[in-house]
Amino acid sequence: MKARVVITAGGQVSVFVDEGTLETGRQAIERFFANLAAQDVAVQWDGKVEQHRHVHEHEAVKTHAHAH
Amino acid sequence: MPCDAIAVASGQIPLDLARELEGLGREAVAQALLALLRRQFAHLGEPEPVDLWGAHSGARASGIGIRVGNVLVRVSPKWRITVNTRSAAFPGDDRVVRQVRDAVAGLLTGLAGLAVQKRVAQAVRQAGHRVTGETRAPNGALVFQVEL
Repeated sequence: MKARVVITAGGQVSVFVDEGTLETGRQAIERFFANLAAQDVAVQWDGKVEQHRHVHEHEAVKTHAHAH
Repeated sequence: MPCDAIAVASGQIPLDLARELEGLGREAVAQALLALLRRQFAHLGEPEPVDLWGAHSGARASGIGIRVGNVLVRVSPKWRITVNTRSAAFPGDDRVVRQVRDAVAGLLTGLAGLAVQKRVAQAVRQAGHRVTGETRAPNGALVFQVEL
């Protein structure tokens, strides 16, 4: 599953999952942070995962275009 | 960072200055400090490493000591920064001391930031995630393309 990881000099770690669904992305992010913790890099994360891609809107537009 | 991601999460690694700087090594940090002082405070003269002595014990102390002009920079083994004048202060020395202290603190914080990025990068690889790309953003952030 393709993702981007951004690490700022202030210690903020952000993960952007670019494939799959919100749910599989959530699982991948949880695994990723757990893997970092196992390597002695503890990321304080509130467990929140957001979706920043509006998949359904894009699909709706595409469907509409095909209907004509 | 353009987003457009299916799932996004952000967390914070508590920045422990001492831990990160310790990982870099005292000599590397001392060299970085010397380079900073040469570059930003050339008008004060050539910076020189100096031995530090315990105020009460009189014994040689560990840590980093650098003299530049009338200013003495000390970084304790616990990475506490002290900057003061070596002898009687001249007019304007207080301003110079503040400038040096801010520059040294900025450098150490920046180095700690680089160290934490390096530590996370190593952990990502050691955890078995395949890294397919690595770039540095204009704001200094390290950006990886990874397989999760």
